[in-house]
Amino acid sequence: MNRDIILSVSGLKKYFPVRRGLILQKTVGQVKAVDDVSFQVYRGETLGIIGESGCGKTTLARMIMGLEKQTEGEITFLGKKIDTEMPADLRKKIQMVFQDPYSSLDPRMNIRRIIEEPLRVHTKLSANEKRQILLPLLKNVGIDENALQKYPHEFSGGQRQRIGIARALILQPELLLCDEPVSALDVSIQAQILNLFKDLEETYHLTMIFVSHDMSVIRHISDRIIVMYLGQIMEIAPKKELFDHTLHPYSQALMSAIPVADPERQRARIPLKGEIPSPLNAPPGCPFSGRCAKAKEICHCQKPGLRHTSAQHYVACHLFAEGCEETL
Amino acid sequence: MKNPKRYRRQYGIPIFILFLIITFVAIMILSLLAPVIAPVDLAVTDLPNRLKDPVFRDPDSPYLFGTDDLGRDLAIRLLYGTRTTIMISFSGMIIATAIGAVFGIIAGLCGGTVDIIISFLTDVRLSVPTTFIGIICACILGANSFTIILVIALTGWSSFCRLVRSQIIQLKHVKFIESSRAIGASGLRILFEHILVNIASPLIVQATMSLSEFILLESTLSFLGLGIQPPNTSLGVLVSTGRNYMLTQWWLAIIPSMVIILLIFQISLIGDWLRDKLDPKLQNMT
Repeated sequence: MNRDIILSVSGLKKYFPVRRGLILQKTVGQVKAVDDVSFQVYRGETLGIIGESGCGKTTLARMIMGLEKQTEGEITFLGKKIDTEMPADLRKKIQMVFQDPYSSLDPRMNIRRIIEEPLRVHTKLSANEKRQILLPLLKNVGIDENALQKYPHEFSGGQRQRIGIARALILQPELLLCDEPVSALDVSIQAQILNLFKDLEETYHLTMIFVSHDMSVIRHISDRIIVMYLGQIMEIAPKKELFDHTLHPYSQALMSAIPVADPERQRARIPLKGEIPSPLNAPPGCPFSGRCAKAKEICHCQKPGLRHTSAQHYVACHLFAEGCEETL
Repeated sequence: MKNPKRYRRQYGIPIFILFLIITFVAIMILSLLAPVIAPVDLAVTDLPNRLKDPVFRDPDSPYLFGTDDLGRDLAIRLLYGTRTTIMISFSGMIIATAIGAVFGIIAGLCGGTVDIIISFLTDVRLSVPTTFIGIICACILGANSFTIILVIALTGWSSFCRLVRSQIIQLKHVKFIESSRAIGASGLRILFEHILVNIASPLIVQATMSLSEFILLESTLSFLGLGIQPPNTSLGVLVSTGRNYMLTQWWLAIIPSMVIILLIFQISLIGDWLRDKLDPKLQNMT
């Protein structure tokens, strides 16, 4: 694989202040939605980001898209630092597919205008030139040409998501960010859309960041996987490595939750006790320490850094502190 | 249209509404063409022929609705009166909608202090009775049609402002706005291509609905003597002068009142229908 870094995120933080009070609002705390996250995305790969609801996946995606200003840290895209003020030529190269296909399309625009909007924003093409770009794209995402004059409410969720994908792809971006693009869809439609993503990845040589809370979805689509918990990265590894040698106890619990289509097979379930802690007062040590079966004393007081265990495998856990490579 | 069925579903008009629209347009045209249809001087009186019976009381009467206390043909005065009322309430509505929409957009988009100030102004306006504003304006500027338009604009904008503000605040957090931001669309493009298009239909509906309110307001002010002055006339003036003959020549007040009721009835029902028609979700259900 080409190891050309297309996007790099370092020390990214997003804290949302929590205000109380009717008239004189005081900041009483901070929600650490994303807390010191660093990773790289290589050209041509699909990076899956998985985590429970509220672990900061979406905030992370929104910051990369420049929809949210980071509290701290840097995002570098194609060698240039980006934030909410992104120059148009960079903005063109990073596009996003949204989670909810129902609210992410303007109900008063027809499909042609919705899909062409990026062209209207960034180029001055004639109607005919736009059509030349539009038609092959429609074919690739599986939308009928006759549908162009219709309005979003005339489509099903899966069709709408295809429209959303076409809209994101029409500028031929270098990086496609998908924020839970299938979680609002029926399971049967999910598979179709996932396969569409796989096909499009090949056709357009896409680099993708794919955010989801569903391990089987992530497993299907990703080359590399980041496991997030409470705004922090727990583990980064290539897919095969992660599934063969799951290191972090949280990742193991996630793995054990993937359903297997074999009633005979007994799986070792690792049930997680308790609730995900409030990001308002995260534990001082490892964020997972409160629910971790293997938690040691150090886990409750000291935050583990992200450590290299093998070539591309990183894990943030005291169990794998350097020098004491424990086997599980 | 390729598909006639689809066309009818989208633009089909129920017969009743069609009838309302046609009669409304007919009244508009008739009254606006009043100086052409009946070129008379409104100030000319004909005292020997005062309080003549209308056709439905005396079939030989040359006056359709009879004559008023100064011998003027009520039918002609009704045409001119409707004309004044419609012109005043329409221009008032346009000005009120424009002011309200601009303030609403500013409040909704800017938020913060600007929003607080504009919302405060809206509340202040809503806490002052409309008639009171009318009386003050008439005292300062004199009673004439421009004063009424001003009063309509001054009192009408607040409901538009509230509507637009709430719509914009709602829309600001909808995903398709965010999606356009992610594409890189500028704020102005989002305002014109997405926000204005999406608030247009509630605004149109609100405008039709408030039109009937403004007709009533014009009539009220004229009835109170704060609006149109004789010899000019409006529906309110006609009701107000006809009121004196309620017991003997009741039609002098009742006929103009019926015109007011008819206009408001038409406008409200058309507005109701427009609201359902412009809502894509309700449209989807049929």
